[in-house]
Amino acid sequence: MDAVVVEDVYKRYPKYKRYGPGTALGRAHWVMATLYRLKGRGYVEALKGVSFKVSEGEIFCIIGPNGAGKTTLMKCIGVMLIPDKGYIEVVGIDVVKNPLRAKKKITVVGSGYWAGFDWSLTLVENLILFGLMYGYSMSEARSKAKEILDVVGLSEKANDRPSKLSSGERQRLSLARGFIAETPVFLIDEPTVGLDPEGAKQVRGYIKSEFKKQGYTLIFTTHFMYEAEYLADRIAIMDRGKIIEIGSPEELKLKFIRGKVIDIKALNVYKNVLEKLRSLDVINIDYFYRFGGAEVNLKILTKKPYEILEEAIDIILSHRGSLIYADVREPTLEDVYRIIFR
Amino acid sequence: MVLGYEFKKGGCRVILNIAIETLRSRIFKEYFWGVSLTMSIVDTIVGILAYYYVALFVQNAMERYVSAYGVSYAEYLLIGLMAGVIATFLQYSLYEGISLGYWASETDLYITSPIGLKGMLIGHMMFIALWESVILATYALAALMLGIPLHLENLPQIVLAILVASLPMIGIGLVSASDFTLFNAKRGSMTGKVFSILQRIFGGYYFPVGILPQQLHIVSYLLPHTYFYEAVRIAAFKGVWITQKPELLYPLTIQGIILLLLGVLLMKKAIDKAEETGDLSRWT
Repeated sequence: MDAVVVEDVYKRYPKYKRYGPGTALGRAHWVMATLYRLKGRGYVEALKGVSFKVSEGEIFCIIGPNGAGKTTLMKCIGVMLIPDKGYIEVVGIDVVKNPLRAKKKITVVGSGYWAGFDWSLTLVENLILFGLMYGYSMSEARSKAKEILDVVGLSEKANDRPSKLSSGERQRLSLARGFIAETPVFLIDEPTVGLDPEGAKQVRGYIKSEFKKQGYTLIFTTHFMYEAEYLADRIAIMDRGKIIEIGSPEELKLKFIRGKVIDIKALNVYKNVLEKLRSLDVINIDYFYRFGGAEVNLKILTKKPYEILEEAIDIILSHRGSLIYADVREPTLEDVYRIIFR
Repeated sequence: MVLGYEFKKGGCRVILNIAIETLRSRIFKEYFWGVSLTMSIVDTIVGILAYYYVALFVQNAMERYVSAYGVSYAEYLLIGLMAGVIATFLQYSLYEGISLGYWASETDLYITSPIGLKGMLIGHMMFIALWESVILATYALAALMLGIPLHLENLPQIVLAILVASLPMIGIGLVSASDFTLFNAKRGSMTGKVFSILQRIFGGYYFPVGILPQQLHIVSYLLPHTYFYEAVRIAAFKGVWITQKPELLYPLTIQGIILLLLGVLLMKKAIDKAEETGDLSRWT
């Protein structure tokens, strides 16, 4: 069964045009914005006919560059915004017609400062408050909160305030909000943004194991391709308000990359060498210089990896370059992303 | 309007629970900033003393304007200031509730839950009511210390005057709160600012409107505050029931109905717009 259905969703925002700070028109910019809108050209098209379905228990990821419409889409599914057109259904409930019923099925976890905690309450009090918001009685919410803190491994810190938690622990507490409400669908915006590598690993591991175990449906956004590949069953790639590709990480890789990636790290590799490398039988070459141009990292995508590796090493060495490292590997989602948005 | 909770069985209890938790959290936050709380009370006391001595200073000049009430100007001023605390609560608490929730990123949390904003707003308004009660008590204490009578024997008349006048004040409160999302959250309440300016000059808050030039009286007559302060003062000083004064009762009732209808209409429009544009969320 489908947990989330999104069909042909459109959303646009009014574009507020400013007329210079400090000027009379600038101060009345909302008047100008209204006039601008009346002329029918003052809108930003955030979503342009987005459609997809997410099955029950599936972990679904949305990736794309900044401004692609990911957050707007999450807000529309999370009943924080009403779409201008289209249909969104969560666990069989139309979110536009029955927003309150739909909200009972969804937990929305934002990113960054939007942590959604009351910083003056303890962890257990925060969870009680959240339980109350989902209609539990005080005693039910209290016993649920204690139980869930155990599940997320924070029971020892039950009486601490969120400010005393590490970033990873805070993110786990955010997830606990959804566990206490027992919502079948979670929407998480950038689950590991701002976390240190250890905290991010902890949260990823937790999501991977707990969500599958509990059978929750998760839709999340991320800019970390490794994270998308590691967590998601399927990935949607968004650009300028549209979904341009959708599929499992393997399907996306197969679709966009028929070959392997050669990683090379070398010294003294200049433009003439790069030109020669490009003339080989390669699909794509990505490179970036480090240490003021002394070291270069090359990612060569090709269908003949081992032949090209030999030829590339010959070219680099014959042009007085020094090889630090070379390897052939399977392509990752990041390679797919680079090919789509290069 | 989807930013509310379904008032089915138990809905009110759920909202009340949330409101109490919000109140508790706000009290803790204020307690946490104990120095700021103490300074606010000190500031209020200093304000009262300043008003009191200014009132003594201008007593002779004000005599002919306040003699009709049979009280000193200090007494006249203090009752106006105390009524002003109540008017401020009625006019701004809803706006303040939304504003506090928005800037604390609480609105994000509440609008994603099925409860909606009601619990949070009621909680914040309860806190503001508590805070205004502290200010009112400070005024009362200061009045007792300065020997200014509070006319508590006329409390029922004062309460009725406040109840009648609360209609237009709540209407203004709804209009002010809808500003928040209709215009722009970061711009604050323009309606609130406009009424605050008007009432201080034309509303009979500090001085009787008779002092103003004749041409400006029209503004005073259009403001509900003028009737409100007058009704409270005659109730306190002379024990007059507002029902005995049709020249105060009718304007307040008519303005109350108009402003309430306008307030409800604008509030609905503001909530619809907030849902359309996501204005109540700080998550971008």
